[in-house]
Amino acid sequence: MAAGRRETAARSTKVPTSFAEVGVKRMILVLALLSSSAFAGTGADEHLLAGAREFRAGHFPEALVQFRVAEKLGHSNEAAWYAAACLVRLKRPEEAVEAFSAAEKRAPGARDELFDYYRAVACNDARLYLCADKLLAGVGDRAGPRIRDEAKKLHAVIQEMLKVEPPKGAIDWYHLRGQQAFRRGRAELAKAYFDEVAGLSARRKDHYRPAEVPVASSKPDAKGQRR
Amino acid sequence: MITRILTIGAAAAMLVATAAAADGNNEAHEALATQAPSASKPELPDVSEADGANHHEGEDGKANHEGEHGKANHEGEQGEANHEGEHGEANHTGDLDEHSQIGEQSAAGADPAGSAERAGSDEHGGRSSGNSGPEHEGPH
Repeated sequence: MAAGRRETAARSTKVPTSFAEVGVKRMILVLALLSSSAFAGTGADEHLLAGAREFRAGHFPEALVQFRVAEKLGHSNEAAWYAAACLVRLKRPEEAVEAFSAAEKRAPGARDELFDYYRAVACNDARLYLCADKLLAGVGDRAGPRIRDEAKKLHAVIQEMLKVEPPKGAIDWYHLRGQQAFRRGRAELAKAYFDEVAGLSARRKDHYRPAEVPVASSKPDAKGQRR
Repeated sequence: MITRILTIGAAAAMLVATAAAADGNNEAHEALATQAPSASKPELPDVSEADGANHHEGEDGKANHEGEHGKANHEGEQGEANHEGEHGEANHTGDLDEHSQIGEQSAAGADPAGSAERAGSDEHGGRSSGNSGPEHEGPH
């Protein structure tokens, strides 16, 4: 009786499948995971390619949509840089400045001289000249001869302009823009304007209004604005 | 045997995905290089321009942000399409001079006291107030 019970218990603890079967099942699972991730990547790449085609054709709004979809689907996040470049071509420089900042955080390894040129143009168009100056200094042959020459030309103009002591009115303007951006909850943009303030102020003998940056602890209201 | 086949299959899938990603990045990089923009002429701003920007922001910019255009432009795909439809022509040319002219004319129309300098300010800074002032205003 007791022996019969022991036999039944031993049967019930026996592994129902062999080791090889478990291995195959695990492999199938791994393969399924790999293929699903590969297909997700392919979907992102299709949008990346479509974005490239639209961008090349000068259809920047469509390119922006494609790159943003690729950014959402993909895992490299390099598309974020392309989306930021679209904003430059769409003459939305402040958004571009923010987008480049975000792209750098997500995919710092993707940064190169071509992106730096686009980013410098965004800074320049948002009147963040010190930011543009810094970026343009690093744009060279790797960006190609045409972009290298454009960068050189723009760099020279900015440097010439910055030779003169910046007027107080300019620093006030950057302060105001920084505060406006901050109130709207656009912290990165506000930071860019306040960095400009600090840099320009340092170029004045009297160091006019160097750092009157608002406290970042204020909470945004329902519309995302800070008081 | 089965394990080997599965491993080879997985590796092949990964290779295909990697190759496709590389293609996309190469294409996009080439497109960016081809369509590289020229920058607008650098000029240090003055706080009086910001006053002008405030004026636009208060009256037109706010309306754009909260009204149909603002919403559409800031939200998703449809918004981008709208942006193209309404402002795309000026933007697509990539011609800064033409773009500036549009901005100046619009600003002059919108703001009786609007000077060329002021228009420049809006062209640069207007986006933060809904890409507001002239760009939205002019062509409509």
